[in-house]
Amino acid sequence: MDQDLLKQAPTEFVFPVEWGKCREFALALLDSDPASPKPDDGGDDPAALLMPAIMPVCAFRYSQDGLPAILRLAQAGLVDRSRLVQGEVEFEFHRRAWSGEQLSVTEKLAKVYDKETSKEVLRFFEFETAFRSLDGEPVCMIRTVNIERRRKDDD
Amino acid sequence: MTDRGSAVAGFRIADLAVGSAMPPRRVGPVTQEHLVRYAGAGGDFNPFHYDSALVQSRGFKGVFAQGLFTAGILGQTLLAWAGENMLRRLRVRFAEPVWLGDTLTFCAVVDRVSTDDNALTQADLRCTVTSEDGRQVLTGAATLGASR
Repeated sequence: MDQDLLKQAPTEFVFPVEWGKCREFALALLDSDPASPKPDDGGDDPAALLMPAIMPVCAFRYSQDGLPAILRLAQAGLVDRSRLVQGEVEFEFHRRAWSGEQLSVTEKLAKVYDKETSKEVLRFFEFETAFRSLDGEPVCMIRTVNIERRRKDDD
Repeated sequence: MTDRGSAVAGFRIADLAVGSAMPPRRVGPVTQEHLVRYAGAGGDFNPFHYDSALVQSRGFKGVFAQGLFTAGILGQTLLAWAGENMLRRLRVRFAEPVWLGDTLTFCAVVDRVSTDDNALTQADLRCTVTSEDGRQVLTGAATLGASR
């Protein structure tokens, strides 16, 4: 396994939490409650809650090259996109995030390892994406596992 | 198409017990429009989610849903049930593809209720998403608890 993969520099970008994007996601996720998420009413209570589902894909919109880390590896020829499947996603929420807020995002490849079955070699790519306020306060940590599946008889 | 569930958000976590369950939510049948709309919202235009000729050429029986489409609906369903401030942790594993035409049932059952060192009660739930033909397409775990 190529441990140089782990030397890839983390990706950093700013994710502006927008009410309209939260609402678009709510509709795409079949959330029929018109009050969720709610627009910011200008007071202390409640602005739109950032929907967890947006966070794993925000790199498509807000990173400099419009790619999440796994697709950046694919673009660099280090991963075969056509063999990729999603394995797991874990969210750890430290506090809520609100529309109008800007979050600092740092995405890094944390671990790469292989497992073999009788027919396939599976390469696991574990990414950690940290969301913080611009003051550095932790908001959310996401761990994602992508799996590159390669049949042994392909090699 | 979708049933948001009959639960009212905002119960007390301490009222949950092992075996307490989120009201099951049925969603489906999943259509191409759902997947295209989700792709547009997220910005991920992976052709496996809309190009049936391509996916069939790669050995799949047809287009399948984005994993985060299913996980996102699970997350929203948990938030709608428990209250938007209550989700502390969510882990999902994508076990099987969700095909066009699948109708899914989202379930969560309390496995454990505990109180931490700060006297905050939290509940650990086992989550499943099952298709009508009995395939468990997603498994996961969630932790509910009061936040700051």
